[in-house]
Amino acid sequence: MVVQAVSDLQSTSAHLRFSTGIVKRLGEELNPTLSKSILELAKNAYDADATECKIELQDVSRPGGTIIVRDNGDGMTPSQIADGWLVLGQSSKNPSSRTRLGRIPAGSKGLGRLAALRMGRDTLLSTTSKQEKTLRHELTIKWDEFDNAQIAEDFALKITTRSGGHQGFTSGTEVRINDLRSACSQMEVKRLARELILLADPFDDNPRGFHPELCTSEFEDLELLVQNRYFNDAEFHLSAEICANGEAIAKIVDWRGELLYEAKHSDIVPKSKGRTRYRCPPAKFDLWVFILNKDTFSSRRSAIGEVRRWLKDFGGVHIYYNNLRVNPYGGPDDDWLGMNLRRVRSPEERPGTNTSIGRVVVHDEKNQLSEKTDRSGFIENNAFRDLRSFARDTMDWMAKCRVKEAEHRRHRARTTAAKQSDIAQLEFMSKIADVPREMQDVIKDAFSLYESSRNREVNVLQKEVQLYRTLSTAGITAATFAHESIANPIKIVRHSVAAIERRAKKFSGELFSSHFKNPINSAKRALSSFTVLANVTLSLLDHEKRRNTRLELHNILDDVLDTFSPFFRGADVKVIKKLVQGSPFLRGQRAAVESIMTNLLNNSIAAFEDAGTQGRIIEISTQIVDNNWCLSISDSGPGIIGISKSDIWLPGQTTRKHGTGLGLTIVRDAVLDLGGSIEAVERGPHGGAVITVYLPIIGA
Amino acid sequence: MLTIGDRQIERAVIVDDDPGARDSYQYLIEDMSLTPLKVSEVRNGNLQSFLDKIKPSDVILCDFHLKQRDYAQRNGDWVMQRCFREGIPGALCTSIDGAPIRRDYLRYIPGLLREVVPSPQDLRLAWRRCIEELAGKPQPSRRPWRTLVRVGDVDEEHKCFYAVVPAWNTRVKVRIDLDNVPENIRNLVKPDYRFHALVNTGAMDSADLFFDEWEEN
Repeated sequence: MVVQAVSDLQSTSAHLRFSTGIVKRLGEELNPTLSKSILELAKNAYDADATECKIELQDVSRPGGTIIVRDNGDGMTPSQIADGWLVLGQSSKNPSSRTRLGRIPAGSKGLGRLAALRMGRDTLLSTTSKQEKTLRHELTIKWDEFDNAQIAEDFALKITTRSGGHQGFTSGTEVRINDLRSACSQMEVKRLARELILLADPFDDNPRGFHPELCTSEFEDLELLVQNRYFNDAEFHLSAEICANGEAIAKIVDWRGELLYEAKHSDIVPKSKGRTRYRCPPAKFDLWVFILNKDTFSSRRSAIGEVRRWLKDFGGVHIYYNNLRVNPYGGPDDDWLGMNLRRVRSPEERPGTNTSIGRVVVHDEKNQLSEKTDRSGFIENNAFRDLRSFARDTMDWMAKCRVKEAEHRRHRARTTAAKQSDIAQLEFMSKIADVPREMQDVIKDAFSLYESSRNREVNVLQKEVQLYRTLSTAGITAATFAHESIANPIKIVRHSVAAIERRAKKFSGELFSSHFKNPINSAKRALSSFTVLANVTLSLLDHEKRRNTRLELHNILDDVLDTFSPFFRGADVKVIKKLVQGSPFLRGQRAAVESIMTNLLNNSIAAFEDAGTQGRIIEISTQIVDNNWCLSISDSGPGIIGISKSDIWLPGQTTRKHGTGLGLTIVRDAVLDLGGSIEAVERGPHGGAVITVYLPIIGA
Repeated sequence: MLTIGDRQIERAVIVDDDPGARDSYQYLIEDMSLTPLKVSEVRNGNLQSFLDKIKPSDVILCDFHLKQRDYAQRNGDWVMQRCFREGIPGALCTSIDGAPIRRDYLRYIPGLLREVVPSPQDLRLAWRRCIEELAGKPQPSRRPWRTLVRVGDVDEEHKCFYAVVPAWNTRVKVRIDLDNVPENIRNLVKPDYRFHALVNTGAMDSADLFFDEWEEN
């Protein structure tokens, strides 16, 4: 037997060996670009505790050029070269240990430099160790000769050492890549310059003493640009961090550094995620958001064009991992946080990569994050996903704050504009008193003419605003009941007509009444329901409702409830009406009052359907308190859940899958237009939400 | 009386929250020479008593929307998957595009009727598919396979994510509502995360894909 024969033989030791072709392919495939390759050598310099790292490009615009990377780091001894620098795939760098200067090593597998070294046909390493400054060690690799060898181990390399006498050498390492295989384009050089500048967090005041530098004019221009720090011109500065326990905090300051908003973990994490903690290394996120318009920059020292260029070259959110930047995050074509997509959805409140600059600084002592071997970013593990969620969640929180601010601004502008107009009018009248008496009447007449035409303009605008609200309400109502009509009435009509068709084929003549009568009646009933839906939409669009007039509030309420009665029946809703005695009235637009009632009733019905509520009750009660008509609508729905009470009024905020989030915004605006106020209670006497509207009345 | 496979069907149970719609389904059932039984409500608490009343010679005809009225607390997909698990054949009617049928329930709903106006032939075919699947003979388009599911995008605003099933179509992202997956999976849903799940990779349309028995990787 063969097995028996082998076991009888003497054993022979063997090793798995690699052809030089594998090394060649590894180097070519891991780091294909100039910038990626040279960055790896710069990271080697960082790991060697260098404070300076100069990269010199000589005649690189054509093949045959030279790249020199020179640092003033700790250098290497011959054994460090042989057992570390020349060993591929197993770095002597241990990320959990620190270098002499306390840096966490950036290299991982030692593969990165292979690509850089193979860019040329010859590589010359020349190094002096900090411990032996009298000696210089040199190593030359001729890659064409290496490639001709069959097995990597068969190609012998020689490290030569020479003495520098008493003077000795400066510690550090120089890597000279000669006879470049291909030319480097201007774009590649510019990209390298940008990457080197960003490598060691130039936005920080303390870049840990590491200054990579490219000896080329592109670098000087860009360095000048990055040194012109425009952070003070940012409209907002978001500053957030994840603490060691995984909880986040955040704050926003304005361009003067004054605190605008602060958030704790529960404010930042979306409600749908509960109080989940971020399972990633401690991190700090800074984002400077710019509003690039002439008005904003009119009072600033910087020119808007300069800031635009700065953001174009360096904008986006960069990741600094243990003090060094990780590609591609924040790069020219990278939007790892999806900022631009979100900005498209909400341009007013969201920053994009061209209107903001930021960084996420991560100190990962436990190696929770891991860079991909080909240096194309981090492996998408849970830690990285949570880091991204943290950055996105804080930006979402900032957007919410900005929506609130925009809302406040809008309300402030509306109330102050009216006051300013009154003051201006008084001032104008007082100035008239200063002109000669014979001219006063002429000016007053002219002013009166102007005032009436201005009032007409204001009225037109007010009507336009009211039309928008009415259209929105009509749209919401139509959308709600379109769903209803498709699901039921139209379906019934179709099915019934289909039944008629089938039966008509089977029966005829006198049998019609006994076999076709019921389906026809069904179709009629369904069509009748559909007609009601159409009437509701049309009644909301009646232009007469947008004229200021005396409004009998209880009459309007009765009319709205009457209109809604088919829908209450259709949704099995029991309506309880408790109206105060009398006929409270005010002056205003009927459409505004209808908008309030219609949207509140729509919300209740929608809540019943979403939650599948059993025992559906809407209680409508009115009272008169301090010359205000109080309309209170409470229901037995699920109440206000999944959204904070203060957010329900914001446009676009909704917990419903297909909701518009406009209903309660319209209600609030309409109430404010009528000089009233509004409040909400999460869970009222029937278990659901209670919305109470206060409108000032003229009489009752 | 209707014969499908080895089943003799005598009665069809109609489940719809709208009395008018129940009537309109009744006509369809009558035209198939079956006895209609209209269900006036489907409560969570007494679904079992409803199921207990179903005879071996019964089939179900159920509408998707059951919550517009105070009729049921869940939609028709929930009722139908419960019936299927009890061995009761049924057809689920939904003529609305994009009706949010749960992807996990869809595995147990072979008799899906998407026709705007289902004919007696459509209905008979839906029941036949269901009866065959109950007998362990699913259509190729319905056969579940354990396969890789990769999360594409997560839309937190609309509480859903878009998944790619490479074994089905690498270029199509399938919308899955977050509440359609178990909580332990939901907590892991993030872009590029990979799971395994049972998916009918023979489905022709993304709307027909079901996802069940999710596995954490």
